[in-house]
Amino acid sequence: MSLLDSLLAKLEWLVVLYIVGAAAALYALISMYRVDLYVALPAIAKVTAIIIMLFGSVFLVCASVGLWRFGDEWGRHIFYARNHICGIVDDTCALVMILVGVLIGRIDLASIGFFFFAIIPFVGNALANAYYHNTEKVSK
Amino acid sequence: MIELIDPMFELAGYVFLVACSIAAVSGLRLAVKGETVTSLMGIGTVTTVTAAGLFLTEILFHIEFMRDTAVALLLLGALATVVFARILRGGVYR
Repeated sequence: MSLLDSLLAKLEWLVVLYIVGAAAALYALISMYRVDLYVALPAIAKVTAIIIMLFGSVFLVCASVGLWRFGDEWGRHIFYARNHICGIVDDTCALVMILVGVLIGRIDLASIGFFFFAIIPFVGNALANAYYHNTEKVSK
Repeated sequence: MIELIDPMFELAGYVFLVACSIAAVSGLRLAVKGETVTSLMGIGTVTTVTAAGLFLTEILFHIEFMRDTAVALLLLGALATVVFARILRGGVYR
């Protein structure tokens, strides 16, 4: 077994320990403060949705800054970088829709997000293919 | 503490809407400045973030028709981007 494999095995155990520890801490909190689970679980889900939306906002703003920065002065191939950035924007929107929809109990939002998440690779591939056939192949 | 969660959710929704607006402006700039395929890509981005923002607005303010608009924008926008990219490439069977 190489060093990388042993490190990965330890990481797996760390993840298991983290999950067990978090569950034990949650159980201890609930039993200590006598929290009603029917009140606590939707509140925890909504707080998680808040965190996901804030993280998604950071990703969206960073991707927008990237779209502003990579102008035409970077050359012809900058199209592929822009395509990647647009894919990140699409992925962020789809993941926020899926996770927030699941967490707040809106299945319609999550299902549309899933459908869109499945289409995103085809969109990026079709755009890159069209650009390649329009510019690179014509110029050769 | 529990009663703070709903206003915080609303605030996070507003922050996400602002981020969506910034991404939409970037996509519009891409659509206006670039060539044909780049414009198509920018319009696809604008469609996506607009639909996500509309869906979030429906969740925040309970306006029903925004959900239908968002669904139509997401599905038709993505599919139309693929179709127009194929057309720009030079036909379906090439």
